[in-house]
Amino acid sequence: MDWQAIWLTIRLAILTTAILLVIAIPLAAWLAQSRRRWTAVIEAIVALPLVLPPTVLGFYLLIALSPRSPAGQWWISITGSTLPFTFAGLVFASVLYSLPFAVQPLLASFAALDRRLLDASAVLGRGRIATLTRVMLPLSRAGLATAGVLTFAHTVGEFGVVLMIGGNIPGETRTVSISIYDSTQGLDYSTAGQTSLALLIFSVLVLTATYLLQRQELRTWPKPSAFTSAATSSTST
Amino acid sequence: MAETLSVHLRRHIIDIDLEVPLDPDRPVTVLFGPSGAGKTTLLRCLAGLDKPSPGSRITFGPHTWDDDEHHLPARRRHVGYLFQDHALFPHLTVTANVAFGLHRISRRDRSQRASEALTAVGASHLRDHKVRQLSGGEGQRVALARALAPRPALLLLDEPLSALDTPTRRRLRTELRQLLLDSAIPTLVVTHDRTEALALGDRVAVLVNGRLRQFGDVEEVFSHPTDPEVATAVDMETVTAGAVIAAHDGVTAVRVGSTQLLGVSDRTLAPGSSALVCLRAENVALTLESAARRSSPRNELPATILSLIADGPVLRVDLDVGFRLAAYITRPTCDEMDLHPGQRITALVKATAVHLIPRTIAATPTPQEPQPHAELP
Repeated sequence: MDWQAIWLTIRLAILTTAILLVIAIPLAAWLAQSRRRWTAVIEAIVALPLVLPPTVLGFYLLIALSPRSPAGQWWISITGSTLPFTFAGLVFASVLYSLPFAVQPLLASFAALDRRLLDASAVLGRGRIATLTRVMLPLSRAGLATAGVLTFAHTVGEFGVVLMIGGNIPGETRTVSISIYDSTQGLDYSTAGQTSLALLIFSVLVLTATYLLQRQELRTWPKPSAFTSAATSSTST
Repeated sequence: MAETLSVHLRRHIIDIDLEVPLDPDRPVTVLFGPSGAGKTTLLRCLAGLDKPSPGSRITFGPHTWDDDEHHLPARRRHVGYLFQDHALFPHLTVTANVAFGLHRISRRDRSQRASEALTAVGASHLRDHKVRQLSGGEGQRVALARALAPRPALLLLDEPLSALDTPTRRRLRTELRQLLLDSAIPTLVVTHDRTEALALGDRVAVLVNGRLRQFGDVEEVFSHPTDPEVATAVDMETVTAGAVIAAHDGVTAVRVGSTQLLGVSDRTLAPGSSALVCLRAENVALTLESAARRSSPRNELPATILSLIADGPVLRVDLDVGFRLAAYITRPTCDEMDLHPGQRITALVKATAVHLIPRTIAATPTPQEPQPHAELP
């Protein structure tokens, strides 16, 4: 087994999940409460990675982040290195690619909350942030857990984007799924099989844990859950 | 200068102009009317939870809460709001719920203030309970404590007792009134229940179809509804159409079908005009003696009992006196008089208890037994 790739993948997934939750919580809260019509556009953009072929996203990212693009030049000016074919570039691409897996479960949870609880919080003098941290998040633990687990698992399984933006540099951008592909190409079926089995078991465990968590949550606090979004996702691409 | 809560509200069907005096001795104003009248929307706009349409203006004493330029957000209005089914935070304990709005006072005083509020509503024993463990009545107390704890400038109660079972509701009704009087916080209570309005309010504003129909002291509004829709809204048991025969000395004679009645009206009614006759069942007495004497301005109506229906602790007696008339009697009285359907008795109603409301052509009242008669000229 390619332990270097496994360790790299785990680091990538943890970092992506952490960054994404910070972005997704306020974004989902805003989407759940906004009544403006154009929020549908934002929702569509957030959901885009669900339907867009990963190679397409990867291609655009490669172009957008190339050293010749303004974004690429800006990145070089502050870090001194390019984004494509680096770990940082991989994290950036993963964050974009897993965005719907973090936002949608949270959005479903927030939207299912009893609105009067949010009204009660407002009338009691609490602002948006306090309402988010003291009412919405504690009552959306299932959605939060689903978002975290799905983002993590999805990042572990991503392939197309990684290949496009990261390439196959051991210790830098070679993730588990690239390693499996590589082994298969090199006719090293036993290594590919071992790593694949490890990923398969990991995926089953993660999803079981998510569903168990949600069942528990449902029993104590009967609300429509973020389940729908869990059903639409898969962990490998 | 007495301060007022001044409301000029436009939103959807609602078009209301209301001036509520902020009077600590008579703090409770009831917003009363059938469902769909816009009561809750009015309350939500006052709380800042809904935005009024352009042309609205809400001021509270010297503070402008809403006009075409400003909309003060709910969190800065300093109002207490009791939601219909309480909206307690299910993930917090009772004390944490009550202390939720106390973030502006020091951490040290917070729990002190929360327990004071819980004691005031008689719920101090529930302090450490989880919200899920509370019964309906307990939840209501805790929700009230949560609304009262930050000492709001205005208290808004949306159907405060409707989520409760009948015995709890009866018990809490009087308690709630006393509590509101003690707190002396100006309060608006939304209800569609007449008894609740009578039990809680100092003043009552009757809303029908998004309009303010009548505003005044509670007894005044309930015993003298000024228009047919208010009469329907305040749930007079008997509202029936009649024709005015004659009027003098403040007493008006009307004919309902073949029956003649004496009643009173705010306005002088011209003979020949039509009017609604409003009677509250509490004001109808029954006697076994046959109608004979002709003293005081009192109506003595030969009646046939149509039905006897239990209504809480009393019996509602429906009578045929030429039109359908409702009366309330207690069970012991009913047993003593041995009343049964089909029996012939006499109904006694003072003229002052018969309210005559001039009937407008545009209004659409729902008289129980419409009588054919001449329309207004």
